[in-house]
Amino acid sequence: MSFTTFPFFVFLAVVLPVYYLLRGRLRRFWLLAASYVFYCWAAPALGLVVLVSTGVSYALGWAIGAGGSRTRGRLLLALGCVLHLGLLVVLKLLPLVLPVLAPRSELRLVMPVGISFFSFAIVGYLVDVYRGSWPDSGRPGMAPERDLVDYALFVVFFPCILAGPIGHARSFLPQLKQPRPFRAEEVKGGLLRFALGMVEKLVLADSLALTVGRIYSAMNASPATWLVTLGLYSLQIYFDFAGYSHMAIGVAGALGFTVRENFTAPYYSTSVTSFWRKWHISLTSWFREYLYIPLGGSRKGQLRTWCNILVVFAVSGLWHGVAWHYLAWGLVNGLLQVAERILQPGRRRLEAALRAPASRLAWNALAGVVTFALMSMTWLFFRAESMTQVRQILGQLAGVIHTGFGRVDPGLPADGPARIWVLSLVTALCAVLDLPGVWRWFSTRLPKRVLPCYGVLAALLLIAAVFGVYGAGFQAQDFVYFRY
Amino acid sequence: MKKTSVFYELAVLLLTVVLLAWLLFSLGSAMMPQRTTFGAVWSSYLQEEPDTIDVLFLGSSRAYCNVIPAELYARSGLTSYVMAGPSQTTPLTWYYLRQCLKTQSPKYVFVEVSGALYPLYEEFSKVNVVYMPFSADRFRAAASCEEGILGVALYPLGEFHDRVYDCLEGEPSKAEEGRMLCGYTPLAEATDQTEPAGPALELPEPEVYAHNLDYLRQIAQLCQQRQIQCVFYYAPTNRAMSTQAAAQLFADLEQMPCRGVEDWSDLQTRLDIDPTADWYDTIHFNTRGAVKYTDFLADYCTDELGAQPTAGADGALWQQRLAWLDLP
Repeated sequence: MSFTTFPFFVFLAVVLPVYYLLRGRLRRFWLLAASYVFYCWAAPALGLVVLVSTGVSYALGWAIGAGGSRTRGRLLLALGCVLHLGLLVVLKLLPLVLPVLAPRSELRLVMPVGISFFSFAIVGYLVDVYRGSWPDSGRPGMAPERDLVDYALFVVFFPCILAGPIGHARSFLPQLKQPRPFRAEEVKGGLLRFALGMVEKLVLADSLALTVGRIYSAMNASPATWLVTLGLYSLQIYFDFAGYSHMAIGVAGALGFTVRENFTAPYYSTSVTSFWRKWHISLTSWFREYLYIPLGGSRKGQLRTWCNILVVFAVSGLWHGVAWHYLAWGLVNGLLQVAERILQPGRRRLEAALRAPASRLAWNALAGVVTFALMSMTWLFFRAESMTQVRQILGQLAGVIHTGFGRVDPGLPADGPARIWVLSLVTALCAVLDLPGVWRWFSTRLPKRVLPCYGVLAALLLIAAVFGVYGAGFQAQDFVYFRY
Repeated sequence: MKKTSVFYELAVLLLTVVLLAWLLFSLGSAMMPQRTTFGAVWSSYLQEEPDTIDVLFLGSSRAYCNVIPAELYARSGLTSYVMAGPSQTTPLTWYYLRQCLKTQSPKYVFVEVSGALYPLYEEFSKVNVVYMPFSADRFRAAASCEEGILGVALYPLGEFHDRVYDCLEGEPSKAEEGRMLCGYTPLAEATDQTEPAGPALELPEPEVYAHNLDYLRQIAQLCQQRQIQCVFYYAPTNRAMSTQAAAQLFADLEQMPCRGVEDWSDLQTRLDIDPTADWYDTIHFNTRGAVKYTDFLADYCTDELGAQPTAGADGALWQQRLAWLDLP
């Protein structure tokens, strides 16, 4: 079930009030049942994968937490990681291997949606239980979860199962033990955020997807058109995934749960390193906590730190898909961060020299623009379907040397000035909402004020309904991150 | 939270929901393409001066392509309107009549009955329903259609929001055209219909046929209650019903409380229809044929039904309509 479909609105309209009418354990049962209905809506059989994963990891968590020798604990943890991450690797590799092994086979592999997200959540939990049992690692850990219902809910919690934010057992499971009285502000705040997510997804991401898709399909454009398209894709993927995250966090918030933030205005970053602290935070945190730090992080010298960064980003690239262009995307991002670390002392000296507020502002603006441009270039590797396509696009961009930038394809804006105006205004609205002060007002103060809150909620829903891309006559776009 | 603020919160929530629903519905309706031809021309119908229509024509494209209200006026002085819809099933015709009678009080209602032969669901239900004004009949009509139409009737914005940019950039108004045509759809081209088209039409499955007849019966009963003279007729066609189907249909219609039941399916000779110049296709006249047929209808109204024009009709407007159409 997708957040932007009519069945989900009906689903939420039933789940939310009943959830608050129930008390104690019944409430958790209700939420668990709702989560399974949500997950199994399109393909009930896929629910079995979640069910089995839940059962196996619950048992492993118990076995790890039961004590015994450290070797036994390590073996059990390794078994859990191999089972869950192995399944993920196998499912990602099979589409590549199957056509080679059995070219005439009719077998089609169905990737359970959200498997990356709940597998990572489960592995994170198992590692935390291991760390809790042998606390000498110095990393925070936890005791195994006793309550199977609570644990199952952690794995399948419907707002987050399809595309994150990746569940974090240490912060989520304790919330289930606390009483969660009905608080109108929480529900309103959650719904406001959900509506903002709808605007970002339906109005911005999906409109941009149509435009960007047209250029990528034609694969014949001037350098100027490609540059604009790369910029638009940066916005598309942000509004797609940040929009989804707003909806997920909003629904969780309406149910009284706090889940990890996934984006904190990444395009306001003034460096690639800072960008990656604000982009897909639940995944980058997971990689930092469960891969980068165990590899030694930045504690084992400069060269090792650079290698660790490259390894983490290479793995992150391959997590998105086993393909050269994803690997290249990860490595390019890793290399940019290594380059930033090398250039950091010079940059610090320069920033220290800029004392006047105006010059600091200008420097930050320039750094922001350069970061956005760099990120837009890296997204080329992500959006392309192969390295061949990447090379073709880079070749057309290199045409700037011989022919200049050329004209921006008049078909790029599509459908005239009204669409450009509307999309620009809505983008500006979302950009303003991303400013820290405005966001604080939107997420904490606005829900406390009755009339303005409902007014903004209605306005956001209206914008999504009128200017959104959905329904008959449109090719509805899936959320980009559903496929990972 | 204080008790009063809970009520306040709920009141604002309710108000927001109602306001949002109204806005979404209104915006959806405003974004629908303007419709002045091919039936379901509700916006122009509702702009007619109330209680100024003498004769109302209902049914399918065989009504809106064949009947020219301006010509009917020129021939008889009777004012009329065609409120038909594309491939309109009899339940939808029933709801159209109920809705039409809210603003007009015609003395005669002509129902083209080929809908009795239609299957339970026909295409174009969406068009027939979504242009209806906001009313219980709109939603009842939608509920009588295939799955999904009720959703469109409740939330037309879902169907038409992609037109928002066309609307923002401005579209020329077609209101004048709608005001002049009065539901008629002019068709210019001609096809040769010398040879009868086949095969002959048959009645649908018994349950579907009974369902269709049920609604025709309700139409006849409503007209009787309102003292409207109702005429069921089968329009001229080059693709006839089978003898058996025609016999059954007209026998069933004769049982209903209506003023007349007419089989005009083979009227071509009487109308002096030129099979090479007066047909648009097998079942629709072009404007040339429609003029001849409308003259016949006008004569039928005055001679057979004894219809008298309403004294208060806006003669200048009807002359303007006649001039606008520039009929052959």
